[in-house]
Amino acid sequence: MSAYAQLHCVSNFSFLRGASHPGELVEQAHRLGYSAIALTDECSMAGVVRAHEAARDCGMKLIVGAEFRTSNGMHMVLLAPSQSAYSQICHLITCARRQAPKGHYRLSNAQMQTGLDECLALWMAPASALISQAAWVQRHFPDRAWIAVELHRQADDEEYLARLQALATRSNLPLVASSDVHMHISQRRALQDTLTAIRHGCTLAEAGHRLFPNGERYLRPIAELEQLYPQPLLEQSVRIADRCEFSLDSLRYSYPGELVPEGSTASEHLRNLVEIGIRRRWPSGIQHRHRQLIEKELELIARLAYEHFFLTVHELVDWARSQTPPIACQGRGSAANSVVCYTLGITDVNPDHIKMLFERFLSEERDEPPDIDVDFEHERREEVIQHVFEKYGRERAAIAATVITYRRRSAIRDVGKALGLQPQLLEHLSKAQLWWDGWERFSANITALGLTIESAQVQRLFELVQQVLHFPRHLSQHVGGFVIAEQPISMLVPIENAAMEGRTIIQWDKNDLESLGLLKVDVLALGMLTALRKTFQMLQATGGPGDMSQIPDDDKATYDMICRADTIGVFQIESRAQMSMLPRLQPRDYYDLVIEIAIVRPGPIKGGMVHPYLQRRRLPDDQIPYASDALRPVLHKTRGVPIFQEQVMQIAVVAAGFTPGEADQLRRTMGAWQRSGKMGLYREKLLRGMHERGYSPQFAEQIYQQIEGFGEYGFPESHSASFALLTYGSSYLKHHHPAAFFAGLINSQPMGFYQPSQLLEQAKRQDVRILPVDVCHSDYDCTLEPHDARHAIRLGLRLVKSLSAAQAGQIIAARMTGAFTSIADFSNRTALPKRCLQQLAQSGALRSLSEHRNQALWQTLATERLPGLFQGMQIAESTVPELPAPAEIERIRRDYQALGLSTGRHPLALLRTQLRDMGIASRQELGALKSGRRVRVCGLITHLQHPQTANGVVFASLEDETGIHNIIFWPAVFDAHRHPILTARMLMVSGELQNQEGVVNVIAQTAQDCSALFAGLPRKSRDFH
Amino acid sequence: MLWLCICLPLLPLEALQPRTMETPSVATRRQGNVQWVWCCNAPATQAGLQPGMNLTTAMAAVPGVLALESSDSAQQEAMKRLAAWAYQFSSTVIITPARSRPDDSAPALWLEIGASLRLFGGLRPLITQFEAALEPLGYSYRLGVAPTLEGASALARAGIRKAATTLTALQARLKQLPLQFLLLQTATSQQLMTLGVETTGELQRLAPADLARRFGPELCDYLGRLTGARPDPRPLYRLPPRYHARFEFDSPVMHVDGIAFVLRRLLHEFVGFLRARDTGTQSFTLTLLHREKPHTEIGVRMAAPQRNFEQFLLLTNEHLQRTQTRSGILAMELRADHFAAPSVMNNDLLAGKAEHGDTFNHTIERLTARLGEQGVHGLRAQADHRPEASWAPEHDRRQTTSPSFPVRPPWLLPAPQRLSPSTLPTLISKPERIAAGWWDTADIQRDYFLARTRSGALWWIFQDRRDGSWHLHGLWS
Repeated sequence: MSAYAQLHCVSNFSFLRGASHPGELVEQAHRLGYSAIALTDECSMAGVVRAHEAARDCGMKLIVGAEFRTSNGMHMVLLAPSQSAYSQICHLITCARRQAPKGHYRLSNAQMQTGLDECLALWMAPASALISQAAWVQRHFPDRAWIAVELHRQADDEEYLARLQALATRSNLPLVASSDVHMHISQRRALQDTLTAIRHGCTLAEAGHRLFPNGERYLRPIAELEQLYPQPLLEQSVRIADRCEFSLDSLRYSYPGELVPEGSTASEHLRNLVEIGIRRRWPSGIQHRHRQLIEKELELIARLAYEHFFLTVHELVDWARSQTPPIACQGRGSAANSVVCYTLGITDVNPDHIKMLFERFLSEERDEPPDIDVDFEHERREEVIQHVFEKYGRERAAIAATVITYRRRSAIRDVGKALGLQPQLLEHLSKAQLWWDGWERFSANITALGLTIESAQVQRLFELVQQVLHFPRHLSQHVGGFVIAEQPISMLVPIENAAMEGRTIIQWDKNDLESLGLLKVDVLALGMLTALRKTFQMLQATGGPGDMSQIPDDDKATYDMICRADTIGVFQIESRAQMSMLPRLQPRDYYDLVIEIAIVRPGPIKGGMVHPYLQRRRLPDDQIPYASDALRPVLHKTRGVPIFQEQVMQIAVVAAGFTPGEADQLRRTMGAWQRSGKMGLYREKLLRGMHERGYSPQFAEQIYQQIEGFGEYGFPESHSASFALLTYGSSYLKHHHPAAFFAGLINSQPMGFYQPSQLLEQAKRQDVRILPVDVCHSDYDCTLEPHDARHAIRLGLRLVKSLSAAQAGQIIAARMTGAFTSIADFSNRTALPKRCLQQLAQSGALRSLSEHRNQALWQTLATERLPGLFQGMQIAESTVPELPAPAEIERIRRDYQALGLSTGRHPLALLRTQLRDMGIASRQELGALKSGRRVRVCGLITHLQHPQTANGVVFASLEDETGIHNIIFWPAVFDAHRHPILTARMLMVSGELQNQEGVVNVIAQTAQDCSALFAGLPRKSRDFH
Repeated sequence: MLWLCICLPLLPLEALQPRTMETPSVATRRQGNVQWVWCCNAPATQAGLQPGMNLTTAMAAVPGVLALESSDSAQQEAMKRLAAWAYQFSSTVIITPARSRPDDSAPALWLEIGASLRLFGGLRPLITQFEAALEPLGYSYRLGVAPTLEGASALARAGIRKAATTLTALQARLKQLPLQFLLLQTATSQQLMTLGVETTGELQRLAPADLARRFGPELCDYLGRLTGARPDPRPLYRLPPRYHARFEFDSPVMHVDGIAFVLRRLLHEFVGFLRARDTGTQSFTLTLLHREKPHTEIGVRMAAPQRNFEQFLLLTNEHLQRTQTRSGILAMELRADHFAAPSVMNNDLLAGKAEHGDTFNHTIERLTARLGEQGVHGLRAQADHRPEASWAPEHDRRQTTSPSFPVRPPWLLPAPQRLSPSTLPTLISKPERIAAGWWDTADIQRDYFLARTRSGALWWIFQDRRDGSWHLHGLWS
């Protein structure tokens, strides 16, 4: 068999062209016995790291390159024989991409004439190629260029080959065999055709000659290539491959150097900062064990030369805190929870409160960069991002990409359109709760829905959708992952335009960066930090705690509240799932919160760890069973049950014989198992390893399940530890300073799980007095106002729908010049448009200027803006007619319509007598009832959820004036009552009460829309988000 | 003046539907990318659908719902047919122009009946006869009688069937009429209701100047027209000299049975028109329009002029039974040009005008005349890699550029012919591989070869890659 290297090959990172993942191409090339494979996506390096990973795993030689089409009609592939050639290609891609809109590139022949002197070039010459073109190639790529012959069993193959041979003789350019590969196996032909149709925005039937005439653009067996190509052409490919020495492993990267003052080394500088921090953290002197830890950490940091990383993160945090007002921030991640980071102020996780996790934070064997994510106030993160760009320059700082992939809904839409299915039908299909995991169930559901689609069409749709899932569609901006380097980033990886004006991204995502060991700093946005900062600001005036450090530890009343699951608005533990765990887990200290945050996640839930953990919390320490003595230290702090990602990794080491490096590979694989599909390999190794060490298959399977669960959303202790600080802080504030806390939350919207109306209802339940929006008193934000010796929340103008911040500003500015005297005066001085005035009248914000809302509305309807001379003149009204004042129910209705919430009574409170007659119990009453009773409840729908871990069960939250009902709909019940559940504003549910350990659920049997009881309320539910 | 208003709340839907449906059906209106439910039939309303709903929501709620996108032209056609039909009851007919206002509630039609009362023997007999004739047309309707146009339509919308024959009686009825039945801008009526103004009487109590300032002069103008305080001139509907009615189906109807309901409606309306003109006809033409030409034309002729519905239906059905429709019916037209006495046909219309210059065209015309419209068509290339799909009849409307193909034989067999492997001709080319068409029913995976037979003929043959069989597909002469 001849040797052959495939030098022209596009993956699905040539969006909507390639029909295989990079890894699939590499693995198939390996199976076929190719000498090497080049990944040459069109003007892109976005897929090379994945290809590189696959090549590393299977021992295949990967050549890095890219394909280009110039505006002058040249079609070329450039290959990188060396790192400098690779940098040249990256630079070319960067130039071509930066001068075109997002997702496109522009390149002229002239741009290829310089700066590519290290690159090898393949020219995809057409049959009609001119000798002058050949001369151009020869001139600019002397001895580095070939004419690629790509034969796909078309009618004119022989003639084409003959023409290129003639061209080669005349131009002195050698020929090489190549294949223009678009897929790894021929079975992807249908998918490749479909992608082509999607790319052209037409159906397959219309696509015509835009499709390839056959499916030959796959990785063909060498024996087949031998029939098609003259032998020397195949041999040539290997000679070219042999010249390519470059591997991504050899990419070298330096941290930015400017953070170290001149005359000092990075180590010295870091130590200086740490010493300053020590004096700040422990003013009365540091304990010996902390000092020891710090020394150990500093030594390790120095040995691995990670000083710059810590300095970079420190600079960010330091800069943010030095702004006026300071930007709240907090670090998290394995490296963040070190004593060094505590002293540097990157985190506040006190080493006295938690056993440091430093043993995992850096390991020499793994040679991977440390992980620190820094959360900033979500409203001010942009300032931090701008700071990074300013400090390091756009050349040296760039944001990582996020690869946006096909999800089920987008796949159905695009594939279905290409198949020519009706848009309405597709919309229906993509929204219907069908089951796509198996063909039989899927087709049965299609039939059940009464859809009439030709079954062959449905089958094609089903198969193609399965194939195209997780295919990349485009690159988007990562939420905040920065790469900062000493040298220009475009030497490492191409940079392209992001959708956001003036924003650029690199072509790699964060897994790519991690895989190559490049430093990344995550600058993330966290709404709770904003809310806490605003709360503290308000408290400063009233004498409450001014920052997190002033909140006392271990406040019993706060933990009592948490154990009651009275946690609406609190960080992390406010969701329905978390709230149903709190009364069972009974968190009593900081570390319990760390566990609570991590346990309600797909990992522990899928691994079946929740129940065992809860059981063992009740056991005395000496009765806790451990799977083995070896695991005791690993699982000690979670009572023998693995909960954190770190523990699962340690189990792999201790119980299954993984090396730490392998365990980390496993962690990364599970983070990205969709992209490699290699989990199966690890499963076997894990199960075998655990079996050999005497663990039960059941336990091993649980661990594996948990690993898979973590893959979807892994949660490490190191993150939970930082989050728990905010959880405790926000709980404390909610309990002791509810007015400031809820005002701060509402002022930071949108964020969190609840909407302002639900937060406000909770504040009311905590006896906080709420003062209505009033143009004579309200600021833009909600504020605190003294009221009956306490502080009441004065609602802000920000809540008035369709009133912009600027318009609110006009009102406040006008008020500064003197109090408003009448609606006419108000309208004249604020010069607000009529629509805004009406909205204000409807919301009751003109209450101080008129008798009631109807009068206010009647007056605002008459406002006219007269031009020029007549400005300010008021037209005399005949008489003010007598209009009825709106009733309470009507006022509440308008509150909801104009503000989305009401300062009045809860709508259900008005209906309570009527509801009681209908046998409907309030949330408060349910608490006293026994499990198993049939009950009827009613409330405003605030949330609908169907977690993936719940097998089709739908959870609903119904709010009444006393609390929130948790409703559980089994799939059959949901399907039977789909319509009212999906559309009602107010829902009545009959079902069986479940009251266990303080967790109250209603298992629904029927559901009924009872919105008519309170007509005119808008539906304000967050559904299936 | 006394006006009878026929309010047609479901016309947007019924103008599209070939028959009344038992299944929930809605007419939708498109705004940008979003489709809204505009009106719902009774089953849809029972299932919980409402106008103003997003169609996606409606489809999620009632998965089987039939949604038809409303068509102004279909609605206007239906309106005109009805107006012509209604002319038999009154010579003063007014129709609402198509979509006179975006938030217009329902289409309506007015007849002046004051002048016809005596002819029909009073109001009640007139209404009885009117409804008896209207019923078979299959529209949902509401009636209102009042001395003003807007008054009659407000009563009709409110479903008040008690006629108001004087302005005073009208005013008395309006007083208690809730605002939602008036034709107000949505924003205006919402604001008024918010203000606590709930009935027309309460609205009338407010000072007109104050109202005009707040809601514009249109409101006062409307109130004036409603009560008769202001004139309300409108263009009258005129009977056309020739009859032409059209009905468009929402989706192609595959069988003549599917058009029965619409046919009855069209014929009823046609008879109404004839009655209105007090005439009859000896011939009319029913045309079935298909996606692809030619249309099916059915000329119905009678021995003597007449206007008998049953007779018309019987004759038409006889024709229909003999008619073969090749493809789905998209629309149906009924046309009549001559009424009452038979006129002398102008037979020389086409005579002597044929152009003889172009013999090719002449030949085509003669061929077409002999073989029929379907027997002769042009050819054009179509971009499809499959040889059998690479050409199409010329009257196909799909647009293509002229695609280029590799060498292809001039004679392609209608269907490939299987060759026995033992008698294969000699292959004289490398294979041309074609793999395409999986998206419809005709996926192919073939290797094509040029081959020479022993007798020297040049064949285009292929091997099916799925089963290895050989086939002859084309010939070079």
